[in-house]
Amino acid sequence: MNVEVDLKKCQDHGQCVYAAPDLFALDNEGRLSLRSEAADVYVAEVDEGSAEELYEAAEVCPLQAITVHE
Amino acid sequence: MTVTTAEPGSAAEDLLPFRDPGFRADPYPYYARLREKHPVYRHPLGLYVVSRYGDVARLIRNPTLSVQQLDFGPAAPIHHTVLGKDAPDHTRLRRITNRWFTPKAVAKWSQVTRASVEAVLDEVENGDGTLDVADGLALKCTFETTCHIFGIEPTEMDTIRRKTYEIGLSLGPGGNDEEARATAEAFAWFADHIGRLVAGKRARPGEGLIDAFIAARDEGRMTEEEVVHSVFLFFAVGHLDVKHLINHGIHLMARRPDLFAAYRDEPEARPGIIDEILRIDTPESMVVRLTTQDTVVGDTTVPAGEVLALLIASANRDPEVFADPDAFDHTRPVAAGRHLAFGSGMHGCAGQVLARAEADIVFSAIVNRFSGVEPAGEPAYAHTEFLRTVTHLPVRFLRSPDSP
Ligand code: HEM
Ligand code: SF4
Repeated sequence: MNVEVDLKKCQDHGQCVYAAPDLFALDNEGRLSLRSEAADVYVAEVDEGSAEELYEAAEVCPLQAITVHE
Repeated sequence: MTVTTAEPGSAAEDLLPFRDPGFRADPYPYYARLREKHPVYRHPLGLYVVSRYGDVARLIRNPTLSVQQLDFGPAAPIHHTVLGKDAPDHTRLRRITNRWFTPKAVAKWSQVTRASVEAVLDEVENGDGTLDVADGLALKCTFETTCHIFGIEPTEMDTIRRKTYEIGLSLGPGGNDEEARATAEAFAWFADHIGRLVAGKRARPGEGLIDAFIAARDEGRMTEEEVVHSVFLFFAVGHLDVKHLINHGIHLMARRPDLFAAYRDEPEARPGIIDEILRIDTPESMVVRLTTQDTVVGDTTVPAGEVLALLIASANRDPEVFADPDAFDHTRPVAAGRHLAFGSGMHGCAGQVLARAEADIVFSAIVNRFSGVEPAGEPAYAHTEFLRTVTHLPVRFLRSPDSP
C-alpha cells in the first residue's frame, strides 16, 4: 500500500506522529520530517503491517493531508 | 497570565497598550508598527512580543518552547489540560480526544449544529426578522453541539459563557486582583458543576466525551483533575473562538452584500471565505510560550526563562505574506502562506475541522434561507488582550422575495 502526504496542506500538527510513530516524525524544528524528502507531495510504499496505524493517522490529521492508497 | 519575571522594558512608550480602548477597538495599526520597527518587542510587562509572520510561524512549531512551565497566574488550573502541558503529558491527553474531532466524527456532530441553527432561524422567520446573533445564534448552536459531544443536556449556557469570559480575562498579560478573584470563583464554579456532571455520568453512563474521560480516568490515563479541567476546556473552546468566527462572518456579510452573494452562489469559494474571515479578524490574538534555552528571533537572542507572546493576529496581516493585508480578499492564493488563526505545531487547534463545519452550517443556512442580512443596531465588543469578543450583534434577516 501507498501513503501520500500533501505537504502544502500539512501544518505540522504532529497528530500523525502520535497515531503512527513508526511512520511519521517531527524534526528538530517541529516540522514533519518528510519535508526533507519532498517539497509538495510525499509518496511512499508502506508495509501492510502498519496499515492500522496509517489509517488512524490519516483519520486524525486535522488538515486531512494524508491519503492512503491500497 | 501574570508576568513577573522581568524588569520594565527599555522603551519609554508602550507600543502595545493592551488595556487602551483605542488599541482594543483596532489593534492592527499598532501591530503594523511593531512588525515594521520592533519585530521583537520587549513589552513593559516583560514579555517578548513577536509580530512578523516568519518568526511567529517558526516559533509556534519550535518544540523547545514550553507551556507547562508558564505561570498562568490565577488561571493555573489550565495546566491540567492539553493547553498547559508539554510532551509527553500533552501527547497522552491529546490522544484521548483526537478521535472525537476527526472529519468523520464532525459529520455526526454537524447534524446537531444544523438542527440548532434551523430552529433559531425558524423563530426569526416567524418573528420580525431581527436577532442579536451574538448569543442568540452563534453561542447557542456551538454550545448545544459541545453538550451533545459531551453526552449531556445543554443547560447553564449563560453562566458558562460568563464564567468562561471571566477566566479569559486572566489569560492576557497584566491583570488585576479583581479579575484574579473572578477567575478563581469561575474555576470553583466549574469544578462544582462538572463534578456533578461527572457524578451523573457515573450513575447513568452514556457514550459521550465525558464518558470517554471517565473511562480514561478508570484506566489510569487521566487524573481526576485532568478530567474536570478538560471538560472545562471543551466547554470553553467549544464556543469561544468559533462564536467569534461566526459573528465576524455575519458582521462582514451585513456590510458586504457581495460577500453574502458569493457565499450563496459559489459553494467552492466557501472554505476560502471562512479562512479569510479568520485571517482578517483573528479571534485569538496571540499564543504564549516560555523559552527553555537561548532562542534566536531575528536579531534578538531571547534568553531561557522568558515569556514569548506570538501575535498570530499580527502575523495574519503581515504584508510580506499577504498582499494588501488589510483588505478582505477570499481569493488570495494559499501558496503564499496560510493564516495562523488556528495556531500550528503540537498545540495547533484540535477543533478546527469542527469549527469550520459549524461556521459553514450557520453561513449556509443564512444564505439559503434569506435574501440578505443588514445591521439592526450597533455591535458591542468586549475585546481582551487575548480574544476579539463580540457581545452584541443585532441584525435583520431579509426575507427572500419568493417566500410566503
Ligand atoms: C474559529 C474557531 C477556533 C479558533 C480560531 C481556534 C484557535 C485555536 C488556537 C490559536 C489554538 C492554539 C493555542 C496555543 O497554541 O497555545 C487552539 C488550540 C486548541 N483548540 Fe481551538 N480554535 C477554534 C475552535 C475550537 C473548537 C471548536 C474546539 C473544540 C471543540 C477547539 C479545541 C482546541 C483545543 C483542545 C486546543 C488545544 C490544543 C493543544 O494544546 O494541543 N478549538 N485553538
Ligand atoms: S497530522 Fe496532518 S497536518 Fe499534522 S503533521 Fe501529520 S500530516 Fe501534517
